[in-house]
Amino acid sequence: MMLSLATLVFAVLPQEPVSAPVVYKAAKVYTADEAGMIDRGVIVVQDGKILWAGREKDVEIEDGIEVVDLGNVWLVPGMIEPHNHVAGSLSDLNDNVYLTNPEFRTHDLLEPRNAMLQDAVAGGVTTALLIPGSGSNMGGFGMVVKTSSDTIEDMVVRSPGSLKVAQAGNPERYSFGVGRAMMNWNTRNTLTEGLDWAAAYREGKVPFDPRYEGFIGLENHTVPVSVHTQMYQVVMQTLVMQVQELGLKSFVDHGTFDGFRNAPLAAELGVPVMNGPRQFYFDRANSRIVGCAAGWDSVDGLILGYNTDAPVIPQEELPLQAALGVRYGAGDAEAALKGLTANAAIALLIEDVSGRLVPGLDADFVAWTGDPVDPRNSVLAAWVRGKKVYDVEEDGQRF
Amino acid sequence: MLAAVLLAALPAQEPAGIALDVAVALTMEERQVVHNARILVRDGRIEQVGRRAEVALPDGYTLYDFHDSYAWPGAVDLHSHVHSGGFGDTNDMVHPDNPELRVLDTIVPGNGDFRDALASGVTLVNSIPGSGTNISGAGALVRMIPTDVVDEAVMRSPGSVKVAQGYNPERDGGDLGESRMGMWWMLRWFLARGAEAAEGDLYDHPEIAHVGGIFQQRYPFLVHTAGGRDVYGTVRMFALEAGVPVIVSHGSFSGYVVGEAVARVGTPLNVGPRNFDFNFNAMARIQGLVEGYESTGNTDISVQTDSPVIPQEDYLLQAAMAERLGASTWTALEAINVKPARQILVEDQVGRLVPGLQADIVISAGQPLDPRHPVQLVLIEGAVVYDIRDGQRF
Repeated sequence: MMLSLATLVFAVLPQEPVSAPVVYKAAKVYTADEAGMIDRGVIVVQDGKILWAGREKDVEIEDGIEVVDLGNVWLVPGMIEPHNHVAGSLSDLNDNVYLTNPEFRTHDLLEPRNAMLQDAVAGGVTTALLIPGSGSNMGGFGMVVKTSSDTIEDMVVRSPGSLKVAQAGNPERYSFGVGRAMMNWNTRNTLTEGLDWAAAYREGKVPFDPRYEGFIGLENHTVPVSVHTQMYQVVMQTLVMQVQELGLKSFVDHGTFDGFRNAPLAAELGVPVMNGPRQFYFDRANSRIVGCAAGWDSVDGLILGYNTDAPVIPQEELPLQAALGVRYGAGDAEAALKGLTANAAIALLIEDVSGRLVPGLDADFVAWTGDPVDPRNSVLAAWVRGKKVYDVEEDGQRF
Repeated sequence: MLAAVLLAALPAQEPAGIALDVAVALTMEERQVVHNARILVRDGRIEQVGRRAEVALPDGYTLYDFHDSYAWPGAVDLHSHVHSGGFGDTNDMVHPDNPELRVLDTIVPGNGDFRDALASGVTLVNSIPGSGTNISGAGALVRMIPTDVVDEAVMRSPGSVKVAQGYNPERDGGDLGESRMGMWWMLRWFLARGAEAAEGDLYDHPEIAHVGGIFQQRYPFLVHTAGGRDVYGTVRMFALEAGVPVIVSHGSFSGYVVGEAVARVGTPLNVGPRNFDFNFNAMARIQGLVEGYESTGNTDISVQTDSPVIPQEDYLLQAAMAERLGASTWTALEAINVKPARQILVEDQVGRLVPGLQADIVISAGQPLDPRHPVQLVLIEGAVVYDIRDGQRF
């Protein structure tokens, strides 16, 4: 069927458009959606949203509409970094006051256009989840941001973006003898108290409490829990405590060591896994390495993505994490790219905002010299909400 | 009983050859690529490389069928310090110049770092001392074979003599060698001593014998040098004034600004492990180093890890990043095999897939510079020394 742009505008945009549509043509358009990879594709952008994506021959472009022919490039969704500490100041990571500190938030830390964010954009990473560190079991509430904007207001996609929980493997207070049993009890206790408050607050039974404010989103399932969790028993605890018992929208961050042994349960519960930044596990019993992502990927239907834990791994090297995942046996090149885009959006509960090139989503897209997961390729230009934010010709190659 | 006696009396059976069937053989000989290739290996050497349809499988050869894979020459890293397995055994900073020292005495063959390297497709490294002094001693070319015997692993000692021209060896205590004037005077003095020694029997001059061997053209200097001033200083001192084989190693910071002058001399460049310049070009722009040298007319370029600065097994990623930052595909591919082999003066032994050369061959699931594809099989001198089917190591 031949589509006309005029009819598209009314189908997608909620209100009368304020700007003219722009058509971008590319040799390959990767939608990260059912259409997958489109040869000789176009995307149509208006008012910062994607109006349409598909084959060039399926759309009728009326005279007078601006057409940008990007030529022999790959046009892919901006990548999403689901575990990031560089959107603010690197020293503001942890306030380890209590074992659980749900009252803290990263909203106060953002520093627009800092050098590391500019590297992220030059590496094709247009969205990031900025979260507190793993010094305590509950570091506070993080936020989902665009990596390119000039103001905090423009950066914020959602705040709170997630509750950061560190299940174990960092938050231990060794000098006081706090181990996993105490931590698990206390984390469950704080989660239960917060969720109970949020349910009561929703029904108007209790007054506002800033300590638990972020739990409103957790309780109504609009905000996920991003969980620093790894190793078999610890990931098991994340899945059982947070998802099975408390019904939270949690996702597994890291998932390293032998955490992948929980893959069947994670897939059954629909819990996304954002693996990394370590991509292999040394299996001492058998004296061999095992790919962590490959372990997770061994179960059908598991939603797999990757993280850098930036600055642990530089945020612009996010696709290299996926490349190593593939090297160690996790899926194919397309699965890797989907993990960096659409699957990360599922984990962050921003599927309706970005991560795919489909109508109605933010026009966050990047022109690459080839497959982003192959590091020999680089970014030529990046757009966020339809606005060009990086151009290698004008800005010089930054990564 | 009789049968057993007969068998025992027969001479040990000659080990037969190996045949490798692959989709693509990157010979690295004048950029020739053979599709649907068969490689025959016998007695540790490459016997034949050709199209499968034109190369018959000889009787008794063991066939390794990787018909969807790439074959390429084992990678050669000229700048590595992990000979004893990780950090350590790199510097004895006794004098400002210590040409009498050698890494041969410190090598732990088959160490963990070397095994990782093998699993990444690296088959030969030039193990060298550090840059703590202006001359830190003689390195050795070490094969990545899993052996416990040093002499089985070492292909040549010295592999090179390590010089550090600046940016590390400075003597900050205020004595001779605090600036380049003092450091470079001492280097010229040792060059003169080496030239004298090369005229006679090197065994008469053990303290300078390693340098004397260079004047006999047996192996090169490998010089830690960076920035435009020092890179050209290296070319002037070693190539133009002393006339000895020399490799510019690192060549980082803004070394590429003298690219055209280096290209006129044709001095080999061993670039890395920092693959770009950001701070030294006064433009706050990323400049790919290999691209900087290539675009100014240099053709003799290898890359390096300076391992453990970059893990030994990430050697090929150095070439991939060079390509990302603007180097051409072939320049990046040649930078890990044929070029380093030529620079270290072993091009008649390794670095290409051509008959007669040592059978150091790697098979991987895809193009070698694409890190998504693991290495599947490695042969060194015709023996299978890594097989992913026994467990993936990298």
